[in-house]
Amino acid sequence: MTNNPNKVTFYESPPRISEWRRFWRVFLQRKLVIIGLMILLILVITAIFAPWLASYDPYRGDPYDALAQPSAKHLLGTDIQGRDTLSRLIYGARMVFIVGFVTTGFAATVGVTLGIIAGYYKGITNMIIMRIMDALMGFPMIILALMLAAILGGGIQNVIIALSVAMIPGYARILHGLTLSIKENDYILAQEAMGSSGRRIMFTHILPNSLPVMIVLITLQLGTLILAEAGLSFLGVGIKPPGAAWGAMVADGYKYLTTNPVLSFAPGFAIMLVVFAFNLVGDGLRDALDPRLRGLL
Amino acid sequence: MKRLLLIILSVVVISALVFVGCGEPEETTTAPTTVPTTTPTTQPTTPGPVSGGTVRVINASGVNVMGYSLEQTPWDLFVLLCAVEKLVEYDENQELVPHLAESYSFNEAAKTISVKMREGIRFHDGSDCDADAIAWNFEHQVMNQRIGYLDQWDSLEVIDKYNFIIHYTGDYNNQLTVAWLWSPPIYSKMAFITAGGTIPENSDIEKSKDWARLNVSGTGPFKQGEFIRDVSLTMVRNDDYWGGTPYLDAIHYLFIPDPVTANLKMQAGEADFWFGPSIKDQLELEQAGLTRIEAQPSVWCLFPNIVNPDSKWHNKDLREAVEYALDKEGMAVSLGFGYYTAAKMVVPEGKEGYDPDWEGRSYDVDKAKDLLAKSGYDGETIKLMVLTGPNVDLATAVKRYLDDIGLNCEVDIADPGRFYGSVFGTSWDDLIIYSFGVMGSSLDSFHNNLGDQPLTRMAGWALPPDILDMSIESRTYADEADQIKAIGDIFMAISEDAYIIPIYKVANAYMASPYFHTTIGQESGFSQYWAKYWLEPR
Amino acid sequence: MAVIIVILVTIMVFSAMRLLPGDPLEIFIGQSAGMGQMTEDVKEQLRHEYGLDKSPVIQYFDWIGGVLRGDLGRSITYRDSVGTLMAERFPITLHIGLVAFVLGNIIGIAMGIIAALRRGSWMDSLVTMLSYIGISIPVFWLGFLLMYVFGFHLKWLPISGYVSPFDDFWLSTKHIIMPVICIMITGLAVIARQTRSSVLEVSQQDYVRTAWSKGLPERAVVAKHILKNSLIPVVTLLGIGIGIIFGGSVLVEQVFAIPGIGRLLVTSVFQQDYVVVQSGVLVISFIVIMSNLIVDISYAWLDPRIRYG
Repeated sequence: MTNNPNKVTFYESPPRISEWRRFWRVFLQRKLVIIGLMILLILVITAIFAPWLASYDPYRGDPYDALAQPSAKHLLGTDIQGRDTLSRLIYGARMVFIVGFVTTGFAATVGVTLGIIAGYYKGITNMIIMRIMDALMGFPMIILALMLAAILGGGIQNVIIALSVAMIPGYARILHGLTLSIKENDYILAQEAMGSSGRRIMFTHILPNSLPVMIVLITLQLGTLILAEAGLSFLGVGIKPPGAAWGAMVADGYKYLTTNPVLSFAPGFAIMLVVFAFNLVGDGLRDALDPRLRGLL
Repeated sequence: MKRLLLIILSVVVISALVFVGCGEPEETTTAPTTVPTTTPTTQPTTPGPVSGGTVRVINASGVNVMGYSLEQTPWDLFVLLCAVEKLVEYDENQELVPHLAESYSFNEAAKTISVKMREGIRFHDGSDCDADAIAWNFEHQVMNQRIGYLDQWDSLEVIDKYNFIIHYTGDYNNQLTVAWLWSPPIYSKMAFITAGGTIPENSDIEKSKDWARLNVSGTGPFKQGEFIRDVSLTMVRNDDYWGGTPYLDAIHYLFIPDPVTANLKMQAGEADFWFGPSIKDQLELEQAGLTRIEAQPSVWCLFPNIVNPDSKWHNKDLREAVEYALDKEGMAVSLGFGYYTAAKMVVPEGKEGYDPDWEGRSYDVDKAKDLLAKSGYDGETIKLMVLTGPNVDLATAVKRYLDDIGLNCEVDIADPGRFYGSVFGTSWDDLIIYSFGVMGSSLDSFHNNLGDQPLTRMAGWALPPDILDMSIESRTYADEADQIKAIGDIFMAISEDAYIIPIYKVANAYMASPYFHTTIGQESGFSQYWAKYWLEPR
Repeated sequence: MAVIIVILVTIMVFSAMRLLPGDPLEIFIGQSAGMGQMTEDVKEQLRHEYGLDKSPVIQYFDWIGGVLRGDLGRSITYRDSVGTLMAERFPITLHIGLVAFVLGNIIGIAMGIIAALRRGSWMDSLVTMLSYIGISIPVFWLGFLLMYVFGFHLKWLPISGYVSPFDDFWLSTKHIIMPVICIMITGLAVIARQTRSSVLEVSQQDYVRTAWSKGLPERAVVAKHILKNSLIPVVTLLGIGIGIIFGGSVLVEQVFAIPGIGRLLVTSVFQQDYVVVQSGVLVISFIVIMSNLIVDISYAWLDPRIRYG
């Protein structure tokens, strides 16, 4: 092993540039982030323009053309109902946004509120909220979601509810920790001394301050969510047919793994690609928003 | 930049690898198919049955209760049919023949059924299978109300070691043989009692029950070997079997719930026989050189809720509209790979009671729309309940056709818990997907599943009053020709008023390795003759 | 504190299971279809036998009382005590889970360190790539791909099932290779990422710079200064790792037909076998909560900056 100190890079003291410019510079400097953004952009475009991009009806197939192999007519073949896989994949992009964003939105709102409340008002409120969150964290997410989905029955709303509940404690915990640390800052203490109401302080100071962490967390969680939805579909409590969700498509298509591998391969790969993109962008955001890395990147 | 290229490259390589992993074997699976198709004709090389060998059998669900009949489900019993036998069984012609019984006869005047037992049959624990043991089995069944037509049950009288008489009340009922002699599995009384304590008088019943839940002692050709719950069950040859020594050394059941896993296991030669593969797996395995053994057919149907007084399904126009809306041919082609046939009646084509002259209702969207408009339920939201698993595909297809005529169909995929809970307990809103299969004769299957006193009553479907009377009356016919004619009339009445909407007849089959020789295809499914099956040495 | 959490868990599981639609007895009867009638009397008797006729509050205390005495109750579907069922299955999940946990952590940490020390090299790219794939791939799908390629196509490994290592160690190992890969992949990727960034962060600390400038050999710097400090945040992930293993076992045991605790839970949720789900989830969350507690304590012990009052 050679003694080469150059392997670890050192940086000079932080240059004085505006926070925004630094953010964009760090964020967009990375090729991987650009790739991630491009994948997500394509996904957004696909989701919005699905009806124009898809050449077949994703829900109504030709029963006499079922399980066709990929061909010029059906680029990715057809499923057991004779539906065009590519068209279903394109429409499935919409489901990614619906499940992903509604769930995250719901879980983040509830989780953040609970976390801030618990962190701000210590004592019994804190104890009750955080212990419940700890208890929820004690369940493996998929088991919690499975139980909830079994209670509520399948279907998109119920999948969203089940996954949201499973995701709440993650947000609550992080916000709780953040609130505790932000609260100790001098400017918050000053506000309190000046007699600002607790609610005002929470929402005008703590919330914006926690935004960077939230954005990173949400981006990274979106990937986990898509995977969890696929897992639930696989266990049989996912989105109802004929809905075109990628997870459900993998779960349906794997039955034809030996004869029509593309049926599960295509949506599986799509899931992987999108989760991958969310992770790339999330990592980029984290580095760009992390104040500890200020000056290093 | 170099790093970026590398990353992109590795993504491409990995996807390529996966693609190759998926794509390549396609050629390899099709290539050998041409070669082993000749294997079914290897029979001439081995002239007849040979002894020895362990057959590995895949079944989707495992056994929960081994030998305590009162807590058993049919799924439990199904795996144990090589160990447990009944007084009468169905033969290859789907006719009930005496099995543990040597003979039985009805005396309509005295209202008795006399049964003479085969002599010298012993349970796996060595105790005698005599009238006393049978009486004990019946005591359990009757006490716990596990057998049908209990309102007609009076008593069981043991005449001597091998003879007993069942006294019944009411009119002659041709279903009593099925309900009383075929339905109850016969277990060893002595094994049960001694498990609770060596001195029978002080036997602890709870201990006995615990033993029986994990152990089986019957009269069958195979007795219990190692049992690993939810994994496997080994049944070993009963050398003392009354029907002659079985050929196989052992049967090794593997409980594999996932069909893809089961399919790969069959193709890899890690199993010899598979109960209940889907049609897709049947065809794929057949291509790979395995033998497809056709089993008794069944018809998948939509059962509307016609029990709830508020149900919209009392409206005949609505029921008819649904039947005209379905492209049964299309579904049979796409979901059945050409092996399913569109069904006109709930009873499978070719079985007793099927009327080839009945035209049925074939795909006619305009007619369906007219009838729907006439019924006044246009645009109505209806729920279609289906058990999770392969039938979700069927539900998806049905939804599409019902939406086409202007209904708003919601598919409700239920896990087994909720599904069976609804079917037999809390009922369903509109339609469920359920099958009618013929096990034994269609006469018996009708009475067991749809009749006036079915073994298990559906919560949302029952014979409408006029047909109910036909069913009750038909049971009193002594002559078999009359019975079959009556069943035909009942099936016709159900079809004419669309009380059940048949979709397609499915090709049920078992898959076996070419080395495994079995006659299970000709048997009824719930009567299996494992002593006769044999394995060709490899 | 952990006691309160466990009590909350019990209340949550208990009430969740009561909210499931349908009656477990109806389901049991439904499954007995064709095996004779189940009259109201018999139902009542069974209801009584399982204590389902009592009020939910009493049922809850009956259950908790039993658990404290070591009696986890009796399964409605399996007709056997939950303790026995757990004793059959827990060792299996634990066997696969522990192997996955240990391997995943060792490989993950090693990959993370290599990637960080050779930042920007091809090894770094490879590790980054693999860890991205690890957190992006649907686990059950990976299971089928592995099964198809290694089990069916190459015939290197048995397709499914489980053999106890005490019966046949070699065969058992062959059986668990694919499930272990599937279960550990997510945790491995997470650990590798965390280790990498943590090592990078520590490498830039003043004391590491000082160590380099003293002219210490790489091995010494890495082992003494970088590793020790950078692994502290990785420790927090170990607790999460336990959760990932139990979560993963739910899917993976289904794919590979492994009779572990995950498969038992899935079946029991669907059969609405209250007793099994209640006690199963309780045991799992107890383990997860306890391992989080241990992680918290060891974290405080490892990092002198943190002291819990």
